[in-house]
Amino acid sequence: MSVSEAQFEGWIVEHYPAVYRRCFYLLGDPVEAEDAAQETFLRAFQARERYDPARPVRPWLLTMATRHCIDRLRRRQRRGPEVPWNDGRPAPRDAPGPEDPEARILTAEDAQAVRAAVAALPPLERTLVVLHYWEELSYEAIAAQTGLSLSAVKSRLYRARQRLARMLQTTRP
Amino acid sequence: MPQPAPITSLERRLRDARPTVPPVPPDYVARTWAYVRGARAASPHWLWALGLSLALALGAAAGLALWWRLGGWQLSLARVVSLLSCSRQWASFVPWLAALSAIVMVSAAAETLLAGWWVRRVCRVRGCLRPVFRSKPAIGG
Repeated sequence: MSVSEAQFEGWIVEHYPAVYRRCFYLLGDPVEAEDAAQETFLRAFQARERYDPARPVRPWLLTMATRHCIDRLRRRQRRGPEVPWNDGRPAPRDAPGPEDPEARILTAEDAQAVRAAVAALPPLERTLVVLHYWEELSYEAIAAQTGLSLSAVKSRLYRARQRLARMLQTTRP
Repeated sequence: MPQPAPITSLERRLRDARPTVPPVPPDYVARTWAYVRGARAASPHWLWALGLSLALALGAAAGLALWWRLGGWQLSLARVVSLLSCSRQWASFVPWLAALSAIVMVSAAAETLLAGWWVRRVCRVRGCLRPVFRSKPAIGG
């Protein structure tokens, strides 16, 4: 099926925010997330002849975005550690949190510690954690978007949680 | 030795740590179109194919001309030896050698220019010159 330019523009209008959010959650940097989102749409444009109109477009785009971000994370891994998602703002769930200012600060600090631990995970485990806990995808959806088997998703997520628990045991509030 | 946090608590902490997503840029459609169109225009395949075909065609033409000049089908090892040993004929061969060198050099220069243009274009689209690109999204949907 041939996707016209007008139709493709409709995809950008409708799905860019979701693709950008996925890239930001996975990469942690707004500028890099924008680059990755644009690259995803470029790849989608180049592959639009292969798009099956019987299937929804958003999962197709998000699958491309996820795999592209995993590649970026792997390349970045060689450059050394980084602490992403550090935009100086509290997590949205921190906002309506505890009344006590001290407790709020502790919650925000804990969120930052958890993000740093997630950032320290290997790229694939980090991706699974982000997709499951931040994007709230089911195991099946994660398997479809990462190309892993269902059992691999479960076992790798379990391993990621164990690793995170070890990293976070000293920073538990 | 401290025990690892229970998984249920960890899962709650993970969900609570979800970061705030920055707002998408207001002109994201134009920017994305500019990126897609810019990268398409910078697609290296046809440029490289053109450059390579040009170089091959020029090389083949020069080789054929040289071969014909040296005697074509009648060219034999004996003729090559005689060419190399006969100073008068060798002298007539020099202009052809110079022409061939010139063709190769012009072809190499053209390819270098094409490659340079392509690298600049890709750099601009992919990030090396990103601020320039961002400040002026020339093509937009």
